[in-house]
Amino acid sequence: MSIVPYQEQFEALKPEFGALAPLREAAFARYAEHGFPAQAREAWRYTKLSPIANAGFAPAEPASLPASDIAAHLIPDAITLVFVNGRLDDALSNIDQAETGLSIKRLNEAGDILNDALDLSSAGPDDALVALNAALMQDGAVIEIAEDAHIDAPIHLLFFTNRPGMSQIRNLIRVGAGARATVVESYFGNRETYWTNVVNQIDLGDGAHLEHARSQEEGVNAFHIGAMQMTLSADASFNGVSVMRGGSLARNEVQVTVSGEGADCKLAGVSLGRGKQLLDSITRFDHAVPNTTSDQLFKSVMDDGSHAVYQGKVIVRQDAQHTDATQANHNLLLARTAQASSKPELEIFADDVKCAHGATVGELDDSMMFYLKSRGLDEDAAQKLLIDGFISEVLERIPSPEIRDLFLTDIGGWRLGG
Amino acid sequence: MLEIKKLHAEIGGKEILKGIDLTINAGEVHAIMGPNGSGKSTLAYVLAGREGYEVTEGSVTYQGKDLLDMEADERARDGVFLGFQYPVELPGVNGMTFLRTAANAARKHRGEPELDGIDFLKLLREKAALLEMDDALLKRAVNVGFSGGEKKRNEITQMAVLDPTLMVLDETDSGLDIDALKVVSKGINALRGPEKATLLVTHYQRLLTYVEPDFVHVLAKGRIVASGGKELALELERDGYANYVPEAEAA
Repeated sequence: MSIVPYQEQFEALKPEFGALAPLREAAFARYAEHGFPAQAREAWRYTKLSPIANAGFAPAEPASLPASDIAAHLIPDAITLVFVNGRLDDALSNIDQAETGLSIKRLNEAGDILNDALDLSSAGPDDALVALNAALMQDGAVIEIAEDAHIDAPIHLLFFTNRPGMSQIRNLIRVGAGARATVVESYFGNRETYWTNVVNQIDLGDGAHLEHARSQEEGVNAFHIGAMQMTLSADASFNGVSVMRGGSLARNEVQVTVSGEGADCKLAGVSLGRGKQLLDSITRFDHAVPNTTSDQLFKSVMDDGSHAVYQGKVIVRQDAQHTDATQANHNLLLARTAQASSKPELEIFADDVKCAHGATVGELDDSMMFYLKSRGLDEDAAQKLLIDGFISEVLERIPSPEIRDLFLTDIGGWRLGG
Repeated sequence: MLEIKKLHAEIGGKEILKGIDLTINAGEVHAIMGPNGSGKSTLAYVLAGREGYEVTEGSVTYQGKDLLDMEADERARDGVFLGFQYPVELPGVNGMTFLRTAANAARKHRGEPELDGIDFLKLLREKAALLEMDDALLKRAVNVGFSGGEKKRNEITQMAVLDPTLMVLDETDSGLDIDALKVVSKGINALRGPEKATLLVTHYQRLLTYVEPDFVHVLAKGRIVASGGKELALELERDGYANYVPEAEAA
């Protein structure tokens, strides 16, 4: 076999593999079959991976992080796991907080669970980086919520990078039948050039409910590739909101398999871009059984020469009668040189379904701007109110006021150039 | 307070105002009436500083300053208020946040301390009560899903909170039923005072029954063709604009 990118890194990590060695070997072989996805592949059309492939990042070196650096990003009363340069930092985390029905393990303590849960058999060429992640995964959280347990405290996974290199993060979240939980992911970093490759696997049992919020504010020179793979059993429900505004090249892919009747998946996202950022959102919702619903709402506000992508696919299988699926993508361009690419897609094989999709691209409305100015707001204040108004539809979907406020504060920072 | 001299203005190369002369002193209420297309709304927009309305000749002096040299937002902070004929809907923009930002922009400009959330709410409730505006409406996105009457009452509520010096009201009476017209008029009258001036732009006389003007002007084809007291409005109501604009359709 010819050498593929990251083969060296794989060989170097081998001594630490332990019980997961066979799984990692298989995953690497799966990845090596395809290598890094090329832009000729439709799903990767806008994401140019060669800088990541060529960089050959070694794992980011461990470093300490002063607690004051993350204080502003914490959620009050949350169960917090802080990962620095791809590794859990025990001192900054409060993983021990007792909650009945909740188990949180680090990746390297959860070998059996991973061996059981990780299934790469269907990973194709578009999933090569998911397979690479399984081969190289360094750390992450394995969260299990017992049947009928209601975990009130949000579980907050915070990832901070301040060294060059890569972080291969793998999280597994299993919400048992009838259980409820809230999981928040936040990504931050400094100006180093680094690569975060994160894969989240989420399995929702019958009637389970997960609230999910994701804030991606990586450093300006970072590469961020995120993938979330989720299955919903009967009557399970998911409500997710994602904010993407960090990194020079950032992508978040969400693959949902709606495999139980009565399941409902709501996913909303907002991308805020400037400079030459590429912010790529990809979704794939697979409705496999009758009577399920899904709702996607993606918005972007793009300035300078930045580029927002939304490629959303909804598949309705032949058996999936009475599927109700909506997709909406709305883009607000603040500069003539900003771009939005939008491709909502439907593949419907059933005949009795309700599917709607729509996409818009526009600029700030002149009459709205004049109305605000006629009330004394200057250009910046007027723009800020309209942008906040535009994205509020997404952020209002976060039910927790604490989490919503945290996200809003962060976005306020974006408006100010932070 | 406001001195308009030989004002010419065009939109997209088409001249709409063709030499307007008008002086409004503090304490006065002036009404500008005229048929559709006479330039009434253009005059209101030019005074408020809307982009795309190009002044080609003449001057507008407001409190001794060159009004045309000021941006729309500067004019507003300096006490010029435009009540819109068609108030703009702002999806997702919370009415309270919007109005508090606006009120504090003006206060900052005047060197006054900004209002905190509690003081602002007190002020807003007091003004909203006058206009019979429901709290629930004020908390919603600005004008989104409001009825025509609610939008106009919202305009005057905003005006009451911002407490402007020069009030330019563009067809504030259009789309109002008689009860709403009375409420809106009460709101406008409450803001009259010796230090204030009002310019009412209207097509019909009926608003002037409730907000009595000191002077009435007829605008036709971009010029003021007649001026008089409030009796002029009654005459126009009775006879239409035909005496002043022979080819105008009867209002």
